[in-house]
Amino acid sequence: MRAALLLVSLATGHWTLATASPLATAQIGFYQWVGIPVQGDPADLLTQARRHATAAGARLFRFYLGPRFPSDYRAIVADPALDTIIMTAYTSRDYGAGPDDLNLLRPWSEADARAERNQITALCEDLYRRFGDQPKTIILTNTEADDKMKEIAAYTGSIERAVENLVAWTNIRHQAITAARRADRRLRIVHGFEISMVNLTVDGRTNALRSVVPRVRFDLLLYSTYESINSPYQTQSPDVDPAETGVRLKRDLDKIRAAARPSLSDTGRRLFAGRFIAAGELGFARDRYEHLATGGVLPRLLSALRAALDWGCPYIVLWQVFDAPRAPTATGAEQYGFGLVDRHGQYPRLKPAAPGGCDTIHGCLAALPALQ
Amino acid sequence: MRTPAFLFLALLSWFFWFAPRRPYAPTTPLPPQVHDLVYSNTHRAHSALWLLALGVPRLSIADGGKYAAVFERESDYIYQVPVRNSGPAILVSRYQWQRLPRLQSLYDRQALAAYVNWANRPEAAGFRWLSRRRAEVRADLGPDDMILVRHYADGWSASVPIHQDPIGFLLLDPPAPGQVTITVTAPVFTPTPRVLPTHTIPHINPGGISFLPNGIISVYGYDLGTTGQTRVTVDGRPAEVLWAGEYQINARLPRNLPPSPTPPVVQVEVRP
Repeated sequence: MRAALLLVSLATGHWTLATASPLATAQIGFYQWVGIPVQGDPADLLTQARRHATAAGARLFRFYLGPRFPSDYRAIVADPALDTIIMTAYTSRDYGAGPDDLNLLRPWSEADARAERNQITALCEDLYRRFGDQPKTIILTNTEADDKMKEIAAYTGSIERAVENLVAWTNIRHQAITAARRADRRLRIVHGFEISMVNLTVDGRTNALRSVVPRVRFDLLLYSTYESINSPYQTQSPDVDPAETGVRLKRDLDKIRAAARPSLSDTGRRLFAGRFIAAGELGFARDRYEHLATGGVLPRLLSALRAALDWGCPYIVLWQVFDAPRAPTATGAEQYGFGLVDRHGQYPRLKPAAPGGCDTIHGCLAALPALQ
Repeated sequence: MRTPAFLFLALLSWFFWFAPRRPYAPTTPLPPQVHDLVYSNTHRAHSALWLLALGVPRLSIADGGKYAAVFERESDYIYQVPVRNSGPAILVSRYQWQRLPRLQSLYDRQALAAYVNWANRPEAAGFRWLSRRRAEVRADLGPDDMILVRHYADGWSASVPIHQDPIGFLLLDPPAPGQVTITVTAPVFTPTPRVLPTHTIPHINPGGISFLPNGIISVYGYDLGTTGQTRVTVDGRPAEVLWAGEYQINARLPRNLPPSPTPPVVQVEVRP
C-alpha cells in the first residue's frame, strides 16, 4: 500500500512538474551567480535558484564552482530535472588567506599548471564516480575571457601577460578534461571556453577571439552575448528597434564561428559540428531597458532568443534566476534587475512584447514555441 | 573560597596585555569627515565610493534612502556594501598604484573611483594579530602585488618598506615576490573627540588647516567655494589656490612669507 502511495505521489509530482514546465526546449536554461534569494526561504541561494529554474521547465543550469562562494555541485548534478549542467569552474590555490581562485594576474607557473591539472582531473573523476551512469552533460568552462584579459592588463599593464596566461590555463584545462574523459560512461564531460567580445576590443587592439582562441582547443565555445544584444557596438546606444537585437546576435555568431572553427576539438566537431557556439549569458536589465521608448525587456529578449534558436546554439543560458545585488559604480550603479524571480518569489511584471501578450520572462518562455 | 588578590591581579594583568583586543575597534573606522558624508542625505555616489574604498562590508543606517538605488538592503537598517573582500589585508596592483591620481578632496570622484578600482580586490593576504599592537601578514606574492592593510598608516612600522596610500591606509611593499611573512606594528591609539561648531560661511574647521612640506596647505571646512571662486590669504598675502571644493581647499603658501614662530593667519574669501 505504501509503495502504491509512493508511486501515486511520484506520478503526481511528475505531472505537476510537467504541466508547470513552460520551456519546450532543453536548450534554454538559467545561470545563478551572486543573487538575492527569496526572503523567508531557508534554502541556500543555489538550491532556491535550481528549484526555480527547474520549476520554470529548465533542464539546463549554470553556476560558479570555486572557492569564493559555496556551492554543492553534487546536489545540482544529481537533480533529475537537469540534463545539462554548466560549471563556471575555478581551480583554487592558497595565497595567504585561504583557498582563492587561481590567480591569473601573475605569470603562469608550473605550480599553477599542476593545480589546474590535478583539480580538474579530480573533479572529472568525482563526477564519473558519482554520476557516470547518468546520461547528462557537464560543461566545465571559464567566464568571459575578455573580462579576465581586461582585469589582468589593468592590474599588470601587460596585455601580453593576459593573453599568455589565458592560453596556458585553457590548454592545461583542455588536456586535463580530455585525459579524464571516459568513453565507456554515459556521463558526458565537455570543455567550454567563454568569450564576450567580437567587434570590440580589450585594449583598443585585441580581444580573446583574436588572440586567445586561435591558440587554444575547446569542445564548445560559449559567447556571453551582451556586446551583440545590448546595443549596436558602434554607438553603444541601447534605445534602438528591439527587432535588431536578434539580427546583431546572428551576425556576431557567424563572425565567431568563422574565426573559431579551427580551434574546435575533434570531440567538439563530433558533438556540435558547425553549431559549436552556445549563448553563455543572455539577459536584459529591467532598470536599463524597461523604460526605453523603443521597447522594453521582453521584445529584446524574444528577438535574441529566436535568433539564438534559429542559428542553432546548442545551449542558451539566461542571466539569471535572481537579481544580482545592487552595486555602485563611479558613474552611478551597475545595471540592475535581470532576474526571472524577484526577492518575494514573484515573476516581475514587464511591458508585454506585443499588445495582450506575455508580460513576464516566465510567461514569454512558456509562449516561446508559439511565438517562433 | 575567595580568589586570592594576587591571582585576581595576575588575571587582570594578563587580560590587559594579552586578551585579543585591537588598537582600532573596527578594522576601518570612518574618519570624521567621511562619517559625516556617509550619514548625510546628499552625495550618494561619493558616499558609496567611500564605503567601498574603506572596505566597509555593511552599513547600519536608520534612514537609508540615499543608498536604496546603489546598495542591497539586508534588513531594516542594514545595507550590504559590495566590497569584494572585506579582510584587513588585500593584494593590490603595483602597476596601478604607481598611476593612482592624488585624492584632492573628499569629493574628488574621479580619484576616488580610481582608488576603488585599485583597492576593491578579492585577493587577500593572511592577517593575524600576535599581540595588542603587533600583527603578522602572510602572502604568496606575484611580481605585481603589494599588500594594502586597511589601517591608517600613521605611526605604523613594518619589517618591509611601507607607504601611505591616497586615503591614508598602510601599504606594504615587499622587495621581491614569493612567500613573505611580514610583521607590522600599530601605534598606540588615543582617540580624540571632535566637535564641529555651528558654522558661518565660509567656515574653516577648528584645527582644519594642515601645513605640509614644500609649502602646500589644505584648508578644511564648509562652503569653501570652487576653484576660481575662492581666494586665500596667509598673513594678508595672497596664496595660490590649487584646488577648491565645497569642503576643502588646497593652496600654495606665498613665496614671500616671512618665517614666524607662530602659525600664520589664513583667511578664506569666497566670491559669489
